[in-house]
Amino acid sequence: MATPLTPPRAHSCSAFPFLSEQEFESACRFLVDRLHMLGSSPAVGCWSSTQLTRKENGPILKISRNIDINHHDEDLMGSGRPDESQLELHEDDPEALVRGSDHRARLQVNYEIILSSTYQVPVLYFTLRHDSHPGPLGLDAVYRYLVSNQHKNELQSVGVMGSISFGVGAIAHNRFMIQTELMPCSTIQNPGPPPFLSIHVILRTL
Amino acid sequence: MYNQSTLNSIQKAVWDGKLPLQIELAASESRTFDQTDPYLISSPRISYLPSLLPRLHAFFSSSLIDPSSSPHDGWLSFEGVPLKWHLPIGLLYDLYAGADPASKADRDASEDATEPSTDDSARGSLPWRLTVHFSDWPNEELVRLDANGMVMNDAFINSVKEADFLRNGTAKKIMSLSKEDSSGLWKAVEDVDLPSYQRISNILLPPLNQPFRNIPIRFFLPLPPDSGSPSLKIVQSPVPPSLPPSSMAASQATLSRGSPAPQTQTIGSALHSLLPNLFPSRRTPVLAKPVLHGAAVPMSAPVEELVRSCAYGDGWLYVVIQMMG
Repeated sequence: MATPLTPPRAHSCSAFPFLSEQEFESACRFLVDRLHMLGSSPAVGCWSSTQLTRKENGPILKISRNIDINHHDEDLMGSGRPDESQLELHEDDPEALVRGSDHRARLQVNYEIILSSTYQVPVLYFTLRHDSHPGPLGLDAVYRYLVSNQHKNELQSVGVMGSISFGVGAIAHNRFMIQTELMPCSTIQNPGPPPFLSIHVILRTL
Repeated sequence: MYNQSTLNSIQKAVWDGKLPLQIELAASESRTFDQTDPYLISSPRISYLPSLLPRLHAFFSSSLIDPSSSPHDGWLSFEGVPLKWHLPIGLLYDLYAGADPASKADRDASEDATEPSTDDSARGSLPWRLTVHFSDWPNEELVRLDANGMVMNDAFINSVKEADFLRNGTAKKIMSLSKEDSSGLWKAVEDVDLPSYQRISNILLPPLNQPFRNIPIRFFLPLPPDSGSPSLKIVQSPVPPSLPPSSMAASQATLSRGSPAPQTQTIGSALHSLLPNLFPSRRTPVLAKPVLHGAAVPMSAPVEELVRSCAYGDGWLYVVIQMMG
């Protein structure tokens, strides 16, 4: 059984829950090292890559995850739900070939964790892409594919916009890619577990 | 020392600031190629590009090769560069148009001159010529807008939230704002309705006798095209409204026998601290100058006074660093 990940201890942070750039980079490096130790175990099997990079504005922890979706999910995306008459035709025709649901598509979630210059805590940005759709998908698709039903209402009921909203990754991205952002405000005001652990939990939840 | 009346008058001048825009339909999308009449408008500097899209779409709809597009499919570019719709129009102009900022010296010269000032035309950059597109959305540069404006609204409110957090150390005020006031804040910016904006922003701002914890301020630096990086660099770091006494103790020790008092943080001291190579002096711009709302900012301007009077609608000071010489 894999060793559980143990985040850096809260008391090692100089101004908990706020992190310095060095503390953030150290925590990211710790996580990446542990993930590499775990290799391809099921605990990290859903992440296709993890990478710690450094841009002009500081370190960025990048994590990618692929999600295969089936024909039914594709229909929910609005890419051509068969109409009801077609479905009935198949049901009434005993000679009809039964097709397996082998039409699969792939979603890719690119997570980027940065140390926010404003909040001084790690902030998670992510984009959701579909292999046949140009550009990132919108918020509806994020809730549909990445948030489990049990967390959906909880996340949507926070504040005016909900916990997930479009924000501008201005500091992480000089190209100003707008990504979907989990709001760090309530985490800071009601710290609970260390910020790094919070993000880890969030990643696993989504 | 500033007072509310002075701050309000400066804020009104900022909100009254306008830019003449000449917007052309992308030739590749026009039935008449490059023969479509341009759309001319005097746009508030504090507005955002998406607010123009319904009018632009209505104006150009009869010229569009593909009439099925919607207003929210629209995006604007300047000299081929897609413009970030989440940045105010005035900031985009200061960033990209390369115009010389207005300065006190310009104003004095203008007052002395017998002829009316031709300052803007001398810069050769007004009206600002932009191109609107309703197809070929640049997915790698811009995130798509939506029909009901929620994407723009979210980006704006997230920005307001960051500003609130920096000012107060928490985001409790914006988080406890009613839904009506939250949407009202964005509507006031959309409508350039300063009285409505002030009513709501006064809920968010600390009173004058209560200093900000930090100043919501970002510096935008253009990078050379061959730098291998995107064309902009943004610098942001916590900027308190006062410098702690300890940082001044050494220089004050020979001048004063008493305990050193906190010194007001000016735009010059903030730039010297964050960008010492570009701003070797706190008092004099040597290699570069700060530009805000199309005007050169005096290096001695206190940052808290600036943000209380000259912030954009989301509560941020967006200062463009322009190289000199």
